[in-house]
Amino acid sequence: MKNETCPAAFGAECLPATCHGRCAIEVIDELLSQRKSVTGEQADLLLDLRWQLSRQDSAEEALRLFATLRLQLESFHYLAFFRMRRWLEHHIVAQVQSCPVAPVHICAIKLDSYCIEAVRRHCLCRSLEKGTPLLAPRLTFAFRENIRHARAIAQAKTQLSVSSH
Amino acid sequence: MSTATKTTSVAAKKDTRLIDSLNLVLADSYALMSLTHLAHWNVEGDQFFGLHKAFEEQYESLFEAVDEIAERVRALDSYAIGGLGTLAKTAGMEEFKSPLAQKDYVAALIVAHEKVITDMTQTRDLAGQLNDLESQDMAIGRLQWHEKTLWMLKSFLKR
Repeated sequence: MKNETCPAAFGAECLPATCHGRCAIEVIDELLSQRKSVTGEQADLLLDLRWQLSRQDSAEEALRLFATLRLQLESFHYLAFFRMRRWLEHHIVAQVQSCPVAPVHICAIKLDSYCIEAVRRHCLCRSLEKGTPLLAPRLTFAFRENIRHARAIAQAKTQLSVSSH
Repeated sequence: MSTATKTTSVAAKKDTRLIDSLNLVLADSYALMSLTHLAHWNVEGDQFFGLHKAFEEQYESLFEAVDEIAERVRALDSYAIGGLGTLAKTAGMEEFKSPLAQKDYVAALIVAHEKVITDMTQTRDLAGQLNDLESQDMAIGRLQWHEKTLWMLKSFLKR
């Protein structure tokens, strides 16, 4: 049993394949392995969430699936959903722009609500509290690792262009 | 005839891995005690009295445990680590911020107990390998307590 705190909690790199914590994927596998713990429909949703977390393509879809499952299953599997919630909070962030041309601000998410729109609203409110005027705000959810990789690629491209000149 | 007391194996006293391991579980236990104390203060809701009392018993037990572990490190002719910053950094335990739902305090403490159990199991096994039965016995006693507490906390979350 792996019980170490997820490295992402301390800002270190953490991928599902190498994560030392109780990753959401591992928790989903545990839920699926328990006989009669979920219905067939819920198992399908869990598998969809597992797929999203392993691919890390759409954080929005991952959060939507998690919210749906949480409403149905949390009262029976509180600890499992607590672990998943913590994992998602460490691995997914909100990217907030006050208007389409404004720079992107990264905002940590808090999954205290059972609906993704409430999480979105909370992130926008937090940006407002920081003094960012929201003219035509844009908010997208993203996996922290994807942002890190995109930044690394952009940095490498800049270095390449500088050295070629 | 030597007058030195020879209860603990020399290998155990010389092995820094065991000292590091004991200092790690010392830091873990201290961090868990602090988190449990926080939960004791700030828990709210319909189960307040039960949880408030249970958390009090747990942090009091942990307070005795950290003393026992630190004194074991000293008995092995080494020094115990201390200071809030050092203990928190060594434990590497995720802290929670109040307010939380009462079930979230319990769930967060479960995760913290699991971390202590993982590290304490390694300490127990290492002490056994080095034939330091006193450290091993202490680790076994601590593991029994953590596993019992884990069972109680998990039972609270069951529907």
